[in-house]
Amino acid sequence: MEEGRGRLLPGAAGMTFVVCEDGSEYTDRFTRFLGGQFRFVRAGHFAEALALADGAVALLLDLDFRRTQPALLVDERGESAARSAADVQGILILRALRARGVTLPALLFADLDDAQRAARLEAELSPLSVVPSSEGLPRIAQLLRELVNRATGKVEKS
Amino acid sequence: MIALLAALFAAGAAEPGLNLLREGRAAEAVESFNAALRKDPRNASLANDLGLANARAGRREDAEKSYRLAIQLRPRRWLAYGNLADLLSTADDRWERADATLALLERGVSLTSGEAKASLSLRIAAFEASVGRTAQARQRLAALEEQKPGAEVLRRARELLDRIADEERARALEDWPDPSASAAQRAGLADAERKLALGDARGALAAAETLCAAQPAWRPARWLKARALDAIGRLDEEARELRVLTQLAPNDASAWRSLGQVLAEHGGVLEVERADAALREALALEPSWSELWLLRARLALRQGRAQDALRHLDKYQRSGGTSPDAARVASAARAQAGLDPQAPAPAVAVGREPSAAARALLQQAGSAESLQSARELLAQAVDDSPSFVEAAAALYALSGAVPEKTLLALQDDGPGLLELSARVRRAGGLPALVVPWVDRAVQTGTPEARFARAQLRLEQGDRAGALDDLLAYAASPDPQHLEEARTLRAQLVSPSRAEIALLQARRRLAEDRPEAALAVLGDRCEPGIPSGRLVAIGEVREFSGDLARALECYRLASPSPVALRRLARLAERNPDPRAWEELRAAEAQGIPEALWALARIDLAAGRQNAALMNIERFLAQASPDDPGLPQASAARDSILRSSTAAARTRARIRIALAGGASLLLAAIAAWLWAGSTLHSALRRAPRLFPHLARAVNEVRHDVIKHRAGVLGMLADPGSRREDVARALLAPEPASQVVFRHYAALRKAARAQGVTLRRLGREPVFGPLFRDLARAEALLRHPGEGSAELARLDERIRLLHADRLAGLLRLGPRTRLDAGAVAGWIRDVEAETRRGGASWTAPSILMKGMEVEFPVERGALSTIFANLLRNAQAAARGGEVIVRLGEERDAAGRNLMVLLVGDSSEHGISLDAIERRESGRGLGLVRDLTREWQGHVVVRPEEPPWRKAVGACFPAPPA
Repeated sequence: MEEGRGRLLPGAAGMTFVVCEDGSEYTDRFTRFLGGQFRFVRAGHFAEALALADGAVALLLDLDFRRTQPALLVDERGESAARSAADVQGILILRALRARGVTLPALLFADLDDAQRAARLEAELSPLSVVPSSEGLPRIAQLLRELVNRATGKVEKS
Repeated sequence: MIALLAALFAAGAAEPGLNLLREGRAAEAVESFNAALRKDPRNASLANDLGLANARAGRREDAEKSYRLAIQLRPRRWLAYGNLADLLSTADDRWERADATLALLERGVSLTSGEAKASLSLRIAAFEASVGRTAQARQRLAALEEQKPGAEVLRRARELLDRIADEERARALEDWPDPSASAAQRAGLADAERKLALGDARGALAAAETLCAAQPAWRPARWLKARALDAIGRLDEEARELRVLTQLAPNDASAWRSLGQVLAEHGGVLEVERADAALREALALEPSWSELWLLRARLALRQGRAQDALRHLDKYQRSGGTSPDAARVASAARAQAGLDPQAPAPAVAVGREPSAAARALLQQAGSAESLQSARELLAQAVDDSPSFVEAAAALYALSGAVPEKTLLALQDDGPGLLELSARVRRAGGLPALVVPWVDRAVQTGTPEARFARAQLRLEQGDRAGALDDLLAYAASPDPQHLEEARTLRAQLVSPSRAEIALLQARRRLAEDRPEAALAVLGDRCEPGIPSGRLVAIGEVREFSGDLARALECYRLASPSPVALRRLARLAERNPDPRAWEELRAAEAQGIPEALWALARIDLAAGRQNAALMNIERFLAQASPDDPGLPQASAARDSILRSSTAAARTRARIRIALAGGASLLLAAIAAWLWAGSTLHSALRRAPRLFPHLARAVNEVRHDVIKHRAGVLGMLADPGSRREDVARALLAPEPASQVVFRHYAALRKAARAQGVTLRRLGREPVFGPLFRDLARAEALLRHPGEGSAELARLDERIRLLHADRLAGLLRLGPRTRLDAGAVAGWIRDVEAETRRGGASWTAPSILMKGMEVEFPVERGALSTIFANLLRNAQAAARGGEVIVRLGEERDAAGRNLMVLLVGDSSEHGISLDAIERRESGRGLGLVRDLTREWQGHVVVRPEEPPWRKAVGACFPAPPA
């Protein structure tokens, strides 16, 4: 498990986001640009995500886990999965987490190119937002703040 | 004593001036004499000396005044008269003042005597000669000889006589006066000219003959007749006509040329000499006709005068002649050189022969003892031969009468009558006696009769009748006494004011003696020399082939029209840019030769357009016999050809340049636009899609999401610009990532036979690349372009991401229905059966009527065939099932599933398939499925089947 660097804002010290990805691009990017506001911890696979979910504000999931060892890939039940599961591992991890009772809000960074599918997933795995790559970091930051606010009961003025 | 003292005083007063004159200081001498004359205004000697000084100083008017003053002061002193005669003999207006001058001089002669009178007479004779009154001059000199002058005066008188004779010969070159033709005759001539121009030579000849009969000395009619005769080929007659014409008009260069050409080309051996003489005259008059030198060379060759031929050829070449025939003639002349010239044929003598008896009687009369006896003998001779002129004349001398029978015998014998007249005149017969005989001789058409009658008429004071006879004589075909006739003319016609030196030079040239001509004229052309003389010197130079010096003479003589014409004609053959201004002046005066000369200068300077304009004008205006015409015509053709060629070349160059530019543009366009867009590439090579999908996903994930996605943070005050820059630029610029992915895509496309466009021109990757590169460039410079970066961020995230997503929708689709699957099955069956393996007809289970796979048909059929063969092999005659359908996975994806189940007991795992060798069987299925973004699945089947192996492909977005 890695902990994101950065300077935490007062009041945001306990606002931890679990970044579930096969690499560290999201974690690095978020930490570099949003580290002053939030804390980011990386989970490289389902087990880590499950372990870190407790106490986190939300889950931030990548979709594609092709760099993850096949043995660490899971299916929607959290059980070992075929290599083909890497393509949609983020969804499978979230499903598995949901199956484990993790109800944290989640952001899935994926270009599904299919609005219906995205809507379906968001409904099935709620609370979930599918964030395409066309959304820039400010929008993601906005989403994170909303998640934090939701977690803390605050209402952010837009 | 007083007179002596006065003379001594005068001599002393004149001494300084005379000394100055001896030293050649004429102007100062004038001052000196003027001063002395002011002191002694009645001194005639000083006045005469002042006249001399003024004359030498070029002050002609002052000189004349001084001489006249001296005459006035001392009318009996001859020297002033003599000096005045000398001065006025070179005055331009001496012709107008001749009578008054001679009257004054005659008064001087009457006041002098002895040696002084002789000296003055000599000066007056010189003056008379200077105004063309050569007959009077001769008479004065003859009278002078009778005065028994001193040896010096006598010597000078003889020199003057020689000079006068020379001048008279020179004046023989002057044209005879043209008779005045009536209006009807002039109209007839014009009409005949038109006929000749229209090709009616016979009609023209008839008209010309009529005109010539009416006006034998009318030159235009003769010239027309000659040309008409030439046109119908009567060349002998033409030559005769031209000969007459040249007699009448010795300055008619064209007539001389035509005569020379006719005689040279069509005359016999006997005519060669006359042809050459005619050509000489033509060249003397018109030295620019350089081609005549070549003709003269041919004549010389015919006469065996090889050296002359070579000399003529030399002049031909120096005059600008370039005929190739010159080389042939030169070769023949050199071959002939050294051979003895052929002796000219002896002239045929013709005489009148009386009977032998009559001749004997004449001889006896000559030795008769008495006059009576002689008369009887002569009478017998005349009786024997009445036309025996010699005997008749002798009888006249003895008896004072001509026998009637002789006159009867000679009635129709013009020459005989003339001979009789001459002998009778020598025997003392009066003109009146012989006039009827001469008239009869004229009536018989005897040419010489006209000359004889002119002499008689002049003798009788009938000047008009004499001139008529002389004119008719000059117009006769072969006048034997033309020279004498010309001399006689000098007594009848007012002498021309032509400078005698010019005529003499012309005579020298006609004799082929250009050096002698220069001796008469002076050999240097300098400013101040009268233009006529400059032109004459130029002509001699031109005749000699010294064209450059001739040109200088003509230039100095310009703007005299004669000089300009000569200059233009010379410049035709020897174009010299120094004469440009003069040629322009000549052109302005309508001298067409100048146009050709200017054109040649333009040509030499490479100004072809200007040359062409002048050539066209020259060809339109030039005389038909202008020697420059052929060359000008050839030059025009050459220019037109070269212009056309140049125009074609320019056109070709323009076309080539345009073509080159087009090719270059096409090459650039090809370089820029060559290849296919991804859209079209996918249509041509659907199997490129997997590569494209990978590239797009990589770019979307790595570039747009993780790198460009941070651009929006620039607006966040909590973000640092360098962090944004680092995200976009490190470890390598995002644009280069795009470039790299696209390069890989191009490579994959080339492997499939498709060339993709260069990145810059590719409509999806290209703009993304540029925007990224622009953003990177802006980020390299802190503080620049925040607004632009914001726009770029939006473009990248929205526009480019959307375009990239659009590419993924271009993937191939293969729609399968039961029939298509059955067909594939049959193919596999046939193949399996050919291999001898067992075959079980598979069951087909499809969900729905058809299933659309996001896979290229060939790849899908390969996958299917291998799955089926694998199942058939595994089943070994057992059951096989084919399933096609769509299902949704846990990730929410719609998967297009192709499964082939079999009833084999032997199971297979994904790991086993993963380990399968590539390129065949399930290994191939694995690889192809993965390539098309799918995955292989192994599933258990309900009995009678045991398992199914297949491929799943995520359904493409709608």
